[in-house]
Amino acid sequence: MRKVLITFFIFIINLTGGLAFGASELYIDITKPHFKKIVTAVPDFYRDGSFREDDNLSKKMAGILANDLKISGLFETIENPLFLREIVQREGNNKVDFSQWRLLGAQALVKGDYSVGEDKGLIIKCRLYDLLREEQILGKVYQGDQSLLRRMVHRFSDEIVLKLTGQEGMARTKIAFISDISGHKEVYTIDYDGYNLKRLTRNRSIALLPAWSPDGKRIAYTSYHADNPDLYFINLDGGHQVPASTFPGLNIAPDWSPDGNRIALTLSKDGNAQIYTFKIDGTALCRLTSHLRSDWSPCWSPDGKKIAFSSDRTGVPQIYIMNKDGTNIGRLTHQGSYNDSADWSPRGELIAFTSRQEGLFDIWIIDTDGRNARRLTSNSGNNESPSFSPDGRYIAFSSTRAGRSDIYIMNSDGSNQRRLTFFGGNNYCPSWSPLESQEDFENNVQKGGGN
Amino acid sequence: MVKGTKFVLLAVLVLVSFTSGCVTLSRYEDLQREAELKESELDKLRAERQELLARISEEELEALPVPPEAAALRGKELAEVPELGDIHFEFDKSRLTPTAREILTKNAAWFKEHPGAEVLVGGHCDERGTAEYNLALGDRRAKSSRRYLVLLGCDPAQIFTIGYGEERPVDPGHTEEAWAKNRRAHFRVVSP
Repeated sequence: MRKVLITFFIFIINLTGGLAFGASELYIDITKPHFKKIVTAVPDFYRDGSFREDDNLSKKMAGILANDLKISGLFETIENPLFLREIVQREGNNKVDFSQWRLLGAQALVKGDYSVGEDKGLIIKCRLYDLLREEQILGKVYQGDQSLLRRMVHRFSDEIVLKLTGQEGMARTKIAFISDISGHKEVYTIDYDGYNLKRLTRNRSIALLPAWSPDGKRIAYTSYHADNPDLYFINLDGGHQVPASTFPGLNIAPDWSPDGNRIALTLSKDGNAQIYTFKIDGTALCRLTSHLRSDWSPCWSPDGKKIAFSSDRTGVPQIYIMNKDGTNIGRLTHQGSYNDSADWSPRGELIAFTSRQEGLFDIWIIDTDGRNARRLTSNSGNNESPSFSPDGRYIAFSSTRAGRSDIYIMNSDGSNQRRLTFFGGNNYCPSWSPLESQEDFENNVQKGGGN
Repeated sequence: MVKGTKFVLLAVLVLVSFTSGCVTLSRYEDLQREAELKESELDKLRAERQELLARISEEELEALPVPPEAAALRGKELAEVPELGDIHFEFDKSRLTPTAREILTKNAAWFKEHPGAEVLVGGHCDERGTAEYNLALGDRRAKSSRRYLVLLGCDPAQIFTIGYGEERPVDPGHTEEAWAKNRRAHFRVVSP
């Protein structure tokens, strides 16, 4: 059997010039250390079934999708040089000239077609083709207001990633962060690709350290607008800001438990900064640490059993791990003399943190047993506040490499570092959203299957 | 003399008596037996206490308990008071240097002359360090200053603290000079 398969692979390689799939279908096993990216053609979308030379929305949709595939690190895209346009124009919406596309070196093809309804709403039909097997393997229809254009295209990008890797794509996620572009530090959100900036708070004070709830509906953060660093919750539409913790002293650095029922945070009401948890309704305040030195920045493990945190109990800030009840404290970081801002990967096996070496901050990752500390950024200003994407494959962080502080994302091995914020001001404290639930998506955007 | 401050005064004397050597246990017992302390003796004690506090180590200072703040100071207008000097800190530390202790002693004298005054002590850091670390450090610097003032005899119910971390620098520069200016505790008084 194996001999037959090997012969089959060689046949395919000869035919298409350099494929290295592990199976005869279009698929990437992203758990393998080295996989070959899928070469995907993404021509401009059709409109009402026909190709239009300079249609802005056609270009925009294709551009968003191609960018999503590129950011994922799993695809190489062929976008729209002139000869792509020729093929698309010639073959029309409903046909695919597979051999023509393969000649460009593509293995997969995305074709889209949109129309504008009477109510000015969009109907977008997207298809994914396997050029090797010469068949369509994915087809979706989305319907929604023009303002949801990016969201609908991101959804299809994620469908592509899910289909071809078995893992959820990140294109529909967002990042919450702090920006002072308004003249005051406020909480903002931005799509993971740097678009769609939205301001959430208008307190004209100092906001800090936002943290996304696990259901993606609220953000916790600290603000000084009531004359003290208090903790607040706010809904994603920027409405309904409510105080969550208003003890004297610090109420900072919140982190939601994975089940969404508790918040861990730092309070200094009893003297020094220490770690506490409380239930979302404000009850059941529980003190976890009691040390003469300071403890701060708690971060739950994805199984909800442990909490990583920072402490200067040895005289300098290092990262520790304890059980969620405060017992069994063990030190995680031993290299360097300044380690802070831990974030636990949603996969559970890694912790990212900020480390200061020779005066500059960089992002590091370390196994949760304390081994294999690896540096992800270097020689690029100060890099701080790592935040994992919900699939654990990417990390958002702030960097001053371009002068001011901006938000960047990168793969969790440090590759593919790209800047998200280009609008000035100082931007920091990123917090990566959870995945948008199917229900939330459908509440806003109608989705059809098949095609 | 407010009861609370008398208690703190005696507590300080008891706690430091063994390390300082200049206030003995028997003297404390004498004081305890008297119903009222004479003003002149009080002044002498105050001077001794001041001298003690200026000399003892940071660890000993941190070990002396003071009544905590009951609530944050909210909704008040604050005024700058030029006579209340800023104190400054070494990098990454909330330790009260000898100079800082001198300034705090002067500030305490001002409070004695303005008995009703409520004061907000703001603790600040330079921009180096993570945001979270600096929030904790600024909070410690403010509380450290408050502790010293209370130990000197100021009413704990009238002193409030707030930590600003690196968020409110007085000098936006990125030099050693700017950083040194920003590592401070700053005193504002509630407007009457």
